[in-house]
Amino acid sequence: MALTAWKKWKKYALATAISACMIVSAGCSGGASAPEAGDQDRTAAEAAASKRAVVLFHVKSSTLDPADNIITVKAGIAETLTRLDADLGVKPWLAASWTAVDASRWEFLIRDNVTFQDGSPLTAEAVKASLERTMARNESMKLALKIRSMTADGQKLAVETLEPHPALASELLNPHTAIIQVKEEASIASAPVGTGPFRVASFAQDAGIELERHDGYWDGAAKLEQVSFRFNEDGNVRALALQSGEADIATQLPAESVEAIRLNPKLKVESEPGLRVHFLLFNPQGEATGDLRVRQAFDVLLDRRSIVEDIMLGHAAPANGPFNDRLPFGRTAAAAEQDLDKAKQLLEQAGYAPDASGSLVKDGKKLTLKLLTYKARPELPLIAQLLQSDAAKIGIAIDIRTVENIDDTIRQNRDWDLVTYSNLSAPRGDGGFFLNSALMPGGSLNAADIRIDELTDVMKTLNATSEAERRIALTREAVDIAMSRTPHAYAVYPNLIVGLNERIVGWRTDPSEYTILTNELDVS
Amino acid sequence: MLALVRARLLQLLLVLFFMSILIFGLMKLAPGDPVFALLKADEVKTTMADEQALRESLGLDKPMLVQYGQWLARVARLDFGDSLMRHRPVLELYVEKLPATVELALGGMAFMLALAVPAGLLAARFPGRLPDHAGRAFSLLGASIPVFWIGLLLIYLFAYRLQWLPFMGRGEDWRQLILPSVTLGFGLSAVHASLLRSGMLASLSQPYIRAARARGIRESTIYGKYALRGAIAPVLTVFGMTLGSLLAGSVVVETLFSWPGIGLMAVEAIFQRDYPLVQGFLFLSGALIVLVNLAVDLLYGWIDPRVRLSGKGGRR
Repeated sequence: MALTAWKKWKKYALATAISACMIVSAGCSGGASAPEAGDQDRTAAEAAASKRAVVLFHVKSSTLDPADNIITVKAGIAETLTRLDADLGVKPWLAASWTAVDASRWEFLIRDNVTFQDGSPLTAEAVKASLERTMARNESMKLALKIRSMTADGQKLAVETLEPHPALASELLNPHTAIIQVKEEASIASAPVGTGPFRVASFAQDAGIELERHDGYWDGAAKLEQVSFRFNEDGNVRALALQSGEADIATQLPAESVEAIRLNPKLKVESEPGLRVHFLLFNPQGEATGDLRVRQAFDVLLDRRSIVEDIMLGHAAPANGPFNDRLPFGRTAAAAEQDLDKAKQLLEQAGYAPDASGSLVKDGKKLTLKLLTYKARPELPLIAQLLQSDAAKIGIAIDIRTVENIDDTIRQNRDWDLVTYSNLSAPRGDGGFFLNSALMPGGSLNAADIRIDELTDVMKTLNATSEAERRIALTREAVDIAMSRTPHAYAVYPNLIVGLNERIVGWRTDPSEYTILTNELDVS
Repeated sequence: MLALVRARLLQLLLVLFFMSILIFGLMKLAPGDPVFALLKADEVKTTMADEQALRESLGLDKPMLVQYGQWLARVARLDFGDSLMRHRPVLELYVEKLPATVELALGGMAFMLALAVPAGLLAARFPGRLPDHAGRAFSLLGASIPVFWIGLLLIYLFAYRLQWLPFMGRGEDWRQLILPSVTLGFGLSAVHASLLRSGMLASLSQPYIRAARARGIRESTIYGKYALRGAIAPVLTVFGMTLGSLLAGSVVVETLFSWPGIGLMAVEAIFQRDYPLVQGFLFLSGALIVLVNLAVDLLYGWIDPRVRLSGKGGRR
């Protein structure tokens, strides 16, 4: 009987063991089980022979029309009038120079040695036509550029704005404003003709772009002959494709995949802080968070070091303000360290005292805060949990709620105290966007309705100032004023993580994330 | 048979009408505002006043019933409007993506059939023996393992380790269809194999099978002709429903393998609150699902003479 039962179970055991072996052998990863170096470089070697590179980009695109999608600049097909340089300053690109006649009138001098990929010259008239098309098609760009009229004369483009717009040069580095030849409207979505180092050979919606070198590129022909620019939105697949040699460059790698990639001598990882900031947003109308001292207590309660090391696995930098300190107007002060004693002291000053159980109480009411978070950025819920745990140490209870659409939730409700939030604070190298949108009444990112009276005058001056150095000084002043009122507690600047095959040379991580393919990129 | 087709088509119209109410209502009740995404308010300096102005210009501030009426009137003319984000007609976008989705759905179905039919038949042929146990273990695995994990394992094994198949993409190499199809078909085959097995076992215990055996009819004929025909109805029901949902796109598989299908476009549209595109997608996909199910109903009439003769259709 027992033998029969064993025989029967043996069959189950055998089937289960086979299945388990299949899954385990497929599931195990790591340096030791990676393919042989020769196999791994097979695709890479083939590609090197033809000066071809394969890029895996983390966001798909269904169109190449720059008015609708920013991929065109990233893929080196088209260029903008201005760009961010390595020091994150606004510098000339297709515009050789520009002058602010006053806060509402500008003169741009367009480079005279530039041709489109169809051989036609880039003139001010062509730039005007391209920008007009963009504004007609893209409401967001119409609002950002605020252009009343443009006059083209040879290579000179005179621009008048609807209102004083000193940040126009910075807005013109937005990839949506990329200059393209607008004669062939029908082909713009699939094969736009720009001035960049690469032209479109073919485009498959949401799958990828095949690019070939534009030999007449004005800044020196690209070193690569062909690029396959593919889209894949799964971080693990991008990491595997890089490890197998299928891809030479993979953008936005998951932090947890970096270690395996670093172990592989054929691969390298570039991890640099970008222009995004993760922060705590306070509800200024909240019963507790309406008190500056409570907000300041949370600012020192935030364990930035642990967020960087334990949550972001080292791929972030502690934040000392809304703007990355690499920006000209970034703050130079060190990021605040966690200080529980100071937090307790501030809360005591705000009238909170511990009860017998250690919970902080004011007017007989325990200090319990509602924190909203969302999963679109996976580290934000973890930051919320870390804060909850640290807050509990000094007697604050935090009730975490995860919501699907954070922007809608905080706009439509006021029954929250804190939010773990994230914004690109200076996407175009100018602080005006974030200060106006997130800290001024009526700003599109100011869902909490933050009002800092002292900020109003500085912002008025900043919004009317064109001179670069003066804008930097005013932005710093505005940040200092805002920081003194602690409407946000800035946590970290997350890194941009890019994986590269070692044969890739000439790579430069662009903190604005606007450019990927350049004429300098090459394979060794 | 003609009466059956007529009755089904009338029902189809009614279903589409109620579906339109549901789709429109759900989209409007769901949280989210297309204007925020449209203005790229998280990257471009805009104000709440700018958002309100755009909302008005798009007619999103009008009463819901007015918006629904206008939308339904356009849908009746097969005009689903333009996508807010892609600035192109919804119908054009849908038709453009459909071939990729159909290709993947057919690939997944082909793999599913290739795996499920032999597994189900073998399990029923040898109940309680190794093929049956293996089939049930496979059904359990297939139903329990999430699709994304199967996909990642297949990529790891066949694209990364063995380098036999491409990682992703569509259209450059026919082998690009293999991994997504297998990923999609694996989980489905588990359900269908299990259904086929139970259907076959039930069918094999029927008196007409015993009678056939008593008459000395060959086992292969009994299995392939009589028992299978009796067992196929419930499988066909699930098959129809699965095919319908596959034609609406498979988001996970499309994401993993960069497969440019409808599902991926729909999810992006949902996140962007691109109302015209989501509504158009739901309506067209719903219509497609209803049509596939109608085809399955008609197939019943062909398979089962009782349905054909009663003229009522319906599934058992």
